Amino acid sequence: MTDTVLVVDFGAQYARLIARRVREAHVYSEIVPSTISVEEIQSRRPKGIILSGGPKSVYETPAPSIDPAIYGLGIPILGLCYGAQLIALQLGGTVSRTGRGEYGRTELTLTGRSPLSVDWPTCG
Amino acid sequence: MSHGDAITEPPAGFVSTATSPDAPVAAMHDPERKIFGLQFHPEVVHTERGSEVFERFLIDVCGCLPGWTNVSIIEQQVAAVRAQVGTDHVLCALSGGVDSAVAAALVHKAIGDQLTCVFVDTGLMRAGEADQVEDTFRRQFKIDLVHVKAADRYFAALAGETDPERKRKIIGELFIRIFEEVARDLGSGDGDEGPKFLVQGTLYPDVIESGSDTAANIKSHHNVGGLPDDLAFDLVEPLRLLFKDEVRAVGEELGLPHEIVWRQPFPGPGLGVRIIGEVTPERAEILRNADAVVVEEIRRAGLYRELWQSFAVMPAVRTVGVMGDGRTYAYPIVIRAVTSDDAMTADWARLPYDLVERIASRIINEVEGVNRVALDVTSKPPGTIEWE
Repeated sequence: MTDTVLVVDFGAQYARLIARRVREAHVYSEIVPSTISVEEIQSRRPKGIILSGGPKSVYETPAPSIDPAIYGLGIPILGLCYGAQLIALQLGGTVSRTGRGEYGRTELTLTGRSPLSVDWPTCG
Repeated sequence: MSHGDAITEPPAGFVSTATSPDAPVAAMHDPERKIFGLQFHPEVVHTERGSEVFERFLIDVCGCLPGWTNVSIIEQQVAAVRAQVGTDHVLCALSGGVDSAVAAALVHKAIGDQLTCVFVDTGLMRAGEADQVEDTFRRQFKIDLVHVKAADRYFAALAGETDPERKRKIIGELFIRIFEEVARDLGSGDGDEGPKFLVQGTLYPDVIESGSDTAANIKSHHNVGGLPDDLAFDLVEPLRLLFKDEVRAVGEELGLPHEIVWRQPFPGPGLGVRIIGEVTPERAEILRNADAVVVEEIRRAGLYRELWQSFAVMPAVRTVGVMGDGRTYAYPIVIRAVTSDDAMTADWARLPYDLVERIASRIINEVEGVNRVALDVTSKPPGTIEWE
């Protein structure tokens, strides 16, 4: 059986693009809705979970969310933009309204080591 | 990220590993639980080294084996089709487009001569399409192909009709009736109940489009949409896990010709909705010839794959022209070319003027019945890609 990574959909365009990038890396990806239950996630035996970006703010009501029990499954999780903010919020970090959107090119400054990179990409 | 939220403090157990002017915590992770957060979009093509980020997460962190390849996709689907249909007879409608072609080739690889393909020539196909289907499927793949030449029936059914919706409906219903006839004929032999399964080229975006429960809300549309209930086929959908680019890659792997694999989308009702007004055999012939010139020149200019669609439209009115010593009274042809990612929005293609000039003069010189060429410069919205 092929290894599967689940992409949790917080914004269709984002989720689709992520799912395609994962497949370009020769790993099978499936897009699932954010209302998915933890049992359903477990039953698919994913090797990893990616929380997509999305057009909303985590402070909107209702803001799409995910069952925080996924953080205890022992499955690696990657959150991107909205997904990252959701992780921060659900696990007790702080998300602030800076009032500035990130448009165009921004340089990242490396402040620590991460298994995801030797050399951070600049972002768009 | 158009809203202005940013992570300012990571949760307990997380380390912050990157920062940017707008995102104090641009990257963070919890090494214990292997949870990562990034405040940028590595999935966007112009994010430098974005694919490397994915590879590190998928391979290094998750330990995935990179086993999703064209070859493994084909192996899996071949096995799945065999398991689903057993020794039963399977029917597949070919449209000339890439999805039905790849689906047919895949199912044929799985079950060989248990598959019968049906191609209905409506008289409203693009130039060379019927021949290519014959050539590829009957001669190259040795697939059992029923080629129904039904142009006369279509033109008779469409005679006098100018309403776009009714034209579409007539074309769709006739297709179903013909398909039904073929299915019943195939089942008329002794003890043969005919095909039990129908192949559909449903793709992954069709499956997820519903947004919610992926398994429950599959759109029941597609190439053969609206088949009557008494033709109770079970569906075989060998492409339902695949994105369009994967379908093309699989098609190439299976040995389908480039022309089919990279063919631009074409509407189900074919040229019938590109003739604005009544559809007649004469008009269909003129439009097909003009369209062939458009496609040939676009290909020659190396723009065919770049464009979402590029084709000819015929508003069925006649205008005055002059050729040699005489006045002409003939049809105009409109060049329609658009760029798009998903057909939801589209931009009219800024074709080079010398290319437009070449297309126009070739159409007027080579296609009898045309004396004027225009270029459609409308984007979608407010226009649609097709004229009807």
